[in-house]
Amino acid sequence: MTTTWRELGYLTPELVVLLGAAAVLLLDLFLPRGRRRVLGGVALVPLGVALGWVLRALWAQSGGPSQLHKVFGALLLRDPYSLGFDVVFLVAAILGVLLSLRYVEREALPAGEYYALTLFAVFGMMMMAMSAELITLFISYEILSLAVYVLAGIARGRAVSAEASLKYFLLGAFASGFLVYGIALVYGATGTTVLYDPLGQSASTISGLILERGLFGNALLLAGLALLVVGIAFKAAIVPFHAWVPDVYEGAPLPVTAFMSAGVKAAAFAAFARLLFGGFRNLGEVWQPVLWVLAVLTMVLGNAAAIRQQNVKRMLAYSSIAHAGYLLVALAAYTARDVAIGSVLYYALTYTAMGVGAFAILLVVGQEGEANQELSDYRGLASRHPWAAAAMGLFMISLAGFPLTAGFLGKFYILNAALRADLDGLAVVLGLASVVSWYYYLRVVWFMYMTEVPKAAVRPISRATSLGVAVAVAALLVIALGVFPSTALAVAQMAGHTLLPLGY
Amino acid sequence: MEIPLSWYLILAAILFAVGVYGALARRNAIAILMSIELMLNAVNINLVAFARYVTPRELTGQIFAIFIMMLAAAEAAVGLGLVLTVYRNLRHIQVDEINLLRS
Repeated sequence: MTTTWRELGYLTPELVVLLGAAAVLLLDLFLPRGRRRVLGGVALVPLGVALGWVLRALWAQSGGPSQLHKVFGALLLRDPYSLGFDVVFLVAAILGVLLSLRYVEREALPAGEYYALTLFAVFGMMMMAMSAELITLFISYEILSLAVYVLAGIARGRAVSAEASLKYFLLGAFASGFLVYGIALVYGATGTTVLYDPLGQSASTISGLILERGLFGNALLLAGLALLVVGIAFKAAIVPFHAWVPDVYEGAPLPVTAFMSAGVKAAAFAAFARLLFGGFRNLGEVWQPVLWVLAVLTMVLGNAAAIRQQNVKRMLAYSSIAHAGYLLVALAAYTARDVAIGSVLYYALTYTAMGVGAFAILLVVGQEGEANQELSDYRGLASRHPWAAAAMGLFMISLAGFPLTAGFLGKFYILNAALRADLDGLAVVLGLASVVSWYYYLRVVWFMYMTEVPKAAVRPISRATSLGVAVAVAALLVIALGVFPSTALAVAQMAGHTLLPLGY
Repeated sequence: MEIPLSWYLILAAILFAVGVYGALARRNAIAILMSIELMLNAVNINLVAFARYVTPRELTGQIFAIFIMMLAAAEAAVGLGLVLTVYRNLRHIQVDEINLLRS
């Protein structure tokens, strides 16, 4: 019994978020309609507590030996890797809730359901980063997915929101069918669903059995792995499984898009890295070329499509596909595993800060019913609202990867991993893709600073405090991660090492 | 004579393929949902067959099949809710005619 309680203790942040979601749902029942705005504040509490717990746990391990605990057998792993990704999810969620406070009220969305679903989605993400077993991975994937499908369509009265969520749901359920078929085949080939044992105590795991029984060319196993990759690639918005992204990102309510683009993608990559580097590390020669091709396709097509967009929300949607491509480069660098995993985590955190920050500015400039999202709405923004323009400029040059911003270092570490793994071609494509992305990111800056509008056409911007706080936090993170990266980087590297602690 | 494992796998593969075809070819959102359920049930056949033939002493496969049934129910609940929302907005659920986005 005592072990069970201790194991539950390792899940503190997850449980806090889950209880928070239940509390929000219950409070929603008892609060009168006019008072429901407090629910957003209520939702921030468990997120903040969980973030504090996670940061403390990471702090306690930095410098000393990293701790790794198996929870419930080997179903979940509480290691610096999962803690590091928890930081990403919680930061994305806190920023997402801050963006929502005003929006939910203005658009008259159901507050209780909105914040409870956000918390459920965060819970699913955190479980996904922890899971080291395929059934657990699948259930967390679905907890996350179902919550996000509904969040995308929570603006029930707007046809585009309903359309976005139905499209997302149908394609997502289709993709999860592939994922689960893949899991079944892998289970059939190996007889287990446990991915790997980081402590090396048990050999009857997928990674152990591949070596022991020499399953390198096993058709069932390879087919299963391929289907698994398809299922996760869908969630991570990787070309050619990206068809849903632009429509869903455009149709979903803006704060949901911001939260999704950062959180869901980070969760998908967290599980992806654990799957490939943990469970299937001995098949690296097989999956590396596949990831190579996917990375090139994702970077090229994501950037090519982003260039053509006139709507800023849609442009950010396509550019987030390109960023998934950069993350794939890190995953493909599996011969430099220790650096590669750390760079995935670091980039996920930087993308969260700059991506959510950019969406926050969209909310500041945007008006009721999601108006004012065309590029032309940013004309002369600098002269009217210098702070908003400066923040947007910062996020844009960070997304473009200019030095002294978080985006630059994120890309730098990914390039570093790619070069160490002798993926020179992929590194070149990444560099070229970034140069192309300068065009559409800097175009926003050009519209804000170099064009003028007549006084009559000047539109007001939203001045909600919560939005200002979110923008300030995101901007500070972008600068801090760009100028003083050492702490975050040390944590990311520790996370990378503990994913494979036995010197693989 | 005992039925070999491969028969179950072939049956599941055919069912899965039918589901995939239905999900891609049908235009009605509810028909697509039904096709996806078919895919999940194909996986259940696989899992139970593997549990019987590969790991006869463990319950992993059966338990997973039960999890998938539960999940299919949750998915259907959410999916039908979303279909209803779209119907209230557009008065139809033909997915190829739902194209407010994609400007």
